[in-house]
Amino acid sequence: MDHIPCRPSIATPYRALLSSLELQIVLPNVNPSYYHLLGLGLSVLYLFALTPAQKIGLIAVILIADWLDGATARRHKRCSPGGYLMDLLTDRASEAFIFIAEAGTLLGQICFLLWMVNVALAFYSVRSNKHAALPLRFAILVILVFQF
Amino acid sequence: MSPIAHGLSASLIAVTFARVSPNETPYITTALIAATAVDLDHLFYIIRDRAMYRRGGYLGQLHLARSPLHELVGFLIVGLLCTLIFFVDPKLAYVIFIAFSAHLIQDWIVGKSFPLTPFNNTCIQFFALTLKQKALIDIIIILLSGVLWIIYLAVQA
Repeated sequence: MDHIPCRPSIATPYRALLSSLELQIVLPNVNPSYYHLLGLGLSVLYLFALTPAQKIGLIAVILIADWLDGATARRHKRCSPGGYLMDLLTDRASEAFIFIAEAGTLLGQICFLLWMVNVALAFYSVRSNKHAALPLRFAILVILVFQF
Repeated sequence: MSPIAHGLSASLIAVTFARVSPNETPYITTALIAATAVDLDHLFYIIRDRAMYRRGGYLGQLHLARSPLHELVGFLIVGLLCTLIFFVDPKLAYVIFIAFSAHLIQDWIVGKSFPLTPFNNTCIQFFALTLKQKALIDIIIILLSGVLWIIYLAVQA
């Protein structure tokens, strides 16, 4: 793998918003994998979350950690195809834990099936050099907020 | 990570989440098997590439002795399998999927991996840990999981 797959044009407005936000915050020059580790740890913790408020809080922090790892890599010139793969792996693993925790509900079961599609899309992304993934954690966060 | 550390920690996460009680021995056994069985693939590659391992040693080289089951493909296969099991026995599906996933994630975090194998052979490493650091993590996880297993069994009993 020689290049980082490019994002689809549909994500441009959202990425632009995040990029402008990135410029406003202080990002320490640390290994972005610490954010991956934080996201994964919190995803495992999600298995044991009892209330919707706890779940919303955990997903929010997981998504922030997911953003910070990329932001740190971009700010401190640490972007690499390997880093992209680590991000991909962390995202799929994080989703797996979140959706298996919700598998008792119909929404969780649908998300789990879509998670498998997302894993397949990870292979497609690298093969086609175009990043493709369903924003499932955003979707479940929005639904949880409305339920709350 | 060693199979003992995987077995103790990954299975504990699985049985705790699935609310398996200590008298449900088949579920506990399944969790232990799901948390460790994937490491059997090391044996195949170690035997096949024994000349290389004799020259270079085993420590720090075991990421080369993994089947695709240890990577994202394995995650997908077990996910599909557990989806089918879910319709028969949801608790069993939870136990297998979580124990297996926790094992994979531990290996990805602690060592090197080839996440997209067999389609792409890019190697990644989250943290450049020394053998000493890996051994320390292993010991801490074994001790911590051991204590938590004792608490789990005592509280549930």
